Amino acid sequence: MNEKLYTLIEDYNLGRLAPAQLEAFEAAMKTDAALAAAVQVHRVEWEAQEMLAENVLRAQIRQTFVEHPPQTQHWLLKNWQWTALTLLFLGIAGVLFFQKTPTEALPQNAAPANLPTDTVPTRDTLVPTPNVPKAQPPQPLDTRKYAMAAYRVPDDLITTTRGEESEDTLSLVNKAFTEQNYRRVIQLLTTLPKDERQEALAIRAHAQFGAGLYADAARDFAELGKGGIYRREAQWFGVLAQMAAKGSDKKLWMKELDKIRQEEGHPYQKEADALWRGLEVRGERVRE
Amino acid sequence: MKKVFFQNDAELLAALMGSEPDRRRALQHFFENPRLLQWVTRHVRMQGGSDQDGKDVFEEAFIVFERQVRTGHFRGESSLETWFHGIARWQWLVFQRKKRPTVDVEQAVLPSVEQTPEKILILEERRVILQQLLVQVGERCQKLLGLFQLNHSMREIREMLGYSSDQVAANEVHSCREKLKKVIHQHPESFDVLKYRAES
Repeated sequence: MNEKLYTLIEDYNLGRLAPAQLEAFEAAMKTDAALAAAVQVHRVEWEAQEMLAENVLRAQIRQTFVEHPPQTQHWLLKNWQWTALTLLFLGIAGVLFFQKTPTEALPQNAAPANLPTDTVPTRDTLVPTPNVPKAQPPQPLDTRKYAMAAYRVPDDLITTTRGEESEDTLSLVNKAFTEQNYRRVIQLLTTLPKDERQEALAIRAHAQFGAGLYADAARDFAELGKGGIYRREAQWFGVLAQMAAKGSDKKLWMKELDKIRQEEGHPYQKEADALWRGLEVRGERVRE
Repeated sequence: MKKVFFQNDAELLAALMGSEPDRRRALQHFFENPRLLQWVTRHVRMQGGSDQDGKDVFEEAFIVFERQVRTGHFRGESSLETWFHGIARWQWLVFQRKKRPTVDVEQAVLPSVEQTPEKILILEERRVILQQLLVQVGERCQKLLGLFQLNHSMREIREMLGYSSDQVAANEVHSCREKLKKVIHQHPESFDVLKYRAES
């Protein structure tokens, strides 16, 4: 059998003939018994060779399985040594990070746990006991504790009108603040949005206070206190931030505090007065 | 075999549709994709099979996939992995029928080609008859014809089987094909069963 006829038979058996060729070929088979027999033999030959090809391929697959065992495990499990090493490294990095982060918690509805029980101020009265042992030398007053005890997050700071699914910056900020993720808030508000700038500035200031960055918080409250609807609120919180910040000017914030407590109708007059009296009782050193 | 990395599915597809060496390199690359075996073993496990069943099904699926690519049945109309998954699903059903003929797979969504238990039985019988014939062509010819059927070049066959030249390899292939023809003619009773087309 010549190669051309063999190819034609192969194309017929594999269904590769064009319709016109197919019609002609089938007509030829009806009249040519030898051709019809050759087609049948080719079919069997092809099937046998396919089986041999299958055997070769099967052997190759099995050989590959032996030489390179298939990865049916997840790569994390397969490379468990690297996974464990990475987790260990992340753990150490996490511990180091948190060790360097200020750990002072922001009191919201309760006084700090480390505040002596006899000096815990309440919302209405900040009257620490004057019963200080005389034998001991006078301790410098920790004004930060007073500031933190007097601090409350304003109820209307976080707007609730935004949809929870909203993805704009202030929505993300509100969400992070609600979760007390103050560093995230600060990160999100590194640049203040042009719209709702005052709201954003107020939230950032409170986040800084919450994160223990009191000097930064004082700066933001001072900025906020220059004008606008947050002005008087910013005065009060600015005083608290300055009280908590290291190295702040005591005379300055005392003067501010005094001003707030004497201003009739100031929304934080009552709180300022309570704080003032509490400091006055304890704090000659404050008044230096 | 030289390791070739394909950057994406399009490159792999182009290689599968390209020259014979490219096609084989692409197949090897495709075979070594761990996701395929993971997918098949997971699918088989979810259907109550074992890891070994998964490997067997993967092997069968890959053989079918290779044949479909080689004979031009795969035209790149779907992604390679999707195509392979389809074959593997089908092979798993066939595997179940072979293993447990009474298993109820009538509810399953089957591929277009009907594969009834009777047809599986007929195909198995054909395979047994063919195996009996092939034993008579000898091991060397079996391997040679298998490589030839997989479209390996004469140079590759020479290298794999250690012939002195491409021409010697070609002569050997011709000789083995003639031997196969002769064996078929010598067994008319087998030929009578095999001469009618049986779709697999």
